[in-house]
Amino acid sequence: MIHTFFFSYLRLTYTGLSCTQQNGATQFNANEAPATYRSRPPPGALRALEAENKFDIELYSRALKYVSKKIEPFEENNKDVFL
Amino acid sequence: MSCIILLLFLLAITSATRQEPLPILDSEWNFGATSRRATLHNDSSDTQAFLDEPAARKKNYQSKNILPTKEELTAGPAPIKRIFLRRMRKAGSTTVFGFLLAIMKDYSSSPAVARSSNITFDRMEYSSLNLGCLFGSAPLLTKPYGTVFLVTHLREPLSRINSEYWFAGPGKTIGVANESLWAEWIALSRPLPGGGALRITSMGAGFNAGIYFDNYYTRMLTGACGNCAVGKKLDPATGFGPVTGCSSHTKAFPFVNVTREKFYTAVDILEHYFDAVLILEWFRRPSLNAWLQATLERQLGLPRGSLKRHTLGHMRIGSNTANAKLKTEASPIY
Repeated sequence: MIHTFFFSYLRLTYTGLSCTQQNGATQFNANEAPATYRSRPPPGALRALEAENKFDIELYSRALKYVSKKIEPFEENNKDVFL
Repeated sequence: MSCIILLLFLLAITSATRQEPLPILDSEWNFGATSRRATLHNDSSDTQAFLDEPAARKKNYQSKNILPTKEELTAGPAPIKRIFLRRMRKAGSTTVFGFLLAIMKDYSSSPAVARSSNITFDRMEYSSLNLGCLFGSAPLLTKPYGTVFLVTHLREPLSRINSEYWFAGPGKTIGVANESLWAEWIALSRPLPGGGALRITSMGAGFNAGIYFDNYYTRMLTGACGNCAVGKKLDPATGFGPVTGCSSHTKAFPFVNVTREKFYTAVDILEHYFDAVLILEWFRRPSLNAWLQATLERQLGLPRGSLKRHTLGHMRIGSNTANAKLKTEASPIY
């Protein structure tokens, strides 16, 4: 039980640290598509998915830039809070 | 003993890196200059598939004037009366849902709000948001129903599919992933010549998750599932009603191919109708959270700081939380 607790905590802390490091206001880099899932599909399936889902991949890519452009002026104009 | 020491060390690190809460200032949030208006249209990425597109076709595409603007359809800048969440499966929708429930809870208990000024909260998960939902015979954005705040959220698409596989698809039931299982899962969801798909047909109407769809976001935003008809039970008070034919968990789900035109329609819809497009990978960023909350405060007609500070990074709700009652009260639209 203590092991379960320990490893759960370790995982939570790891996640927390990663997120804290990313929380900086200047790190809205829309050109870097975030990779969120460590366990990706096997290579053959991944290639098929990439080919089939090209519209969604493009939509997401544009949305990253779109959202960051909306947030950045807000961030910039509220520097007293974010920077 | 060593475990305990390590635990204490990790606790110390966590507390040292914890973010301070945002200060609430007296002045209004500054949303930035309008000249830097964000757009989805002129910002194509370098995705190879789009580089392959014929230049002439790109040039001739005039998507911005095809759909009516939200301003033309809605009550204008008046405070919002409804919040509509276009949920995207396995893309943080429970988190966004929890966030909005908390906002609604704050709103209804705020002393700045008259008791008669209730807002409604609608969500859609398993159906596609076809154009008939936005305007036309099943209006989401029409003046009689007041101003609607539309929210949706995206996650990196292949991560979303992977999550669907593991948490609702074959990964959940079989517990392994290999090339053949993935290929089978994808193939089973292929449309049949007469409509529907093998997997959906065999699983029946109760099967509402774990299905693979290519270009899921585009489908869910544009109704790329055939010609949808409006259900008969349209609620005159809200303008909402069940939309038949677009539900992804029924045998009747009619597949159509997602085309480039559908993609551009999705771009239009996201840009022109949605007040907030959230990115799952940025849910923990303070500025995204503050922007969302400030936007909601402004559009709800509340002074800055009226709502408690909520963060998307911590809003996942379960059935045992205090929000469970509210969760059941928010109206689902399938």
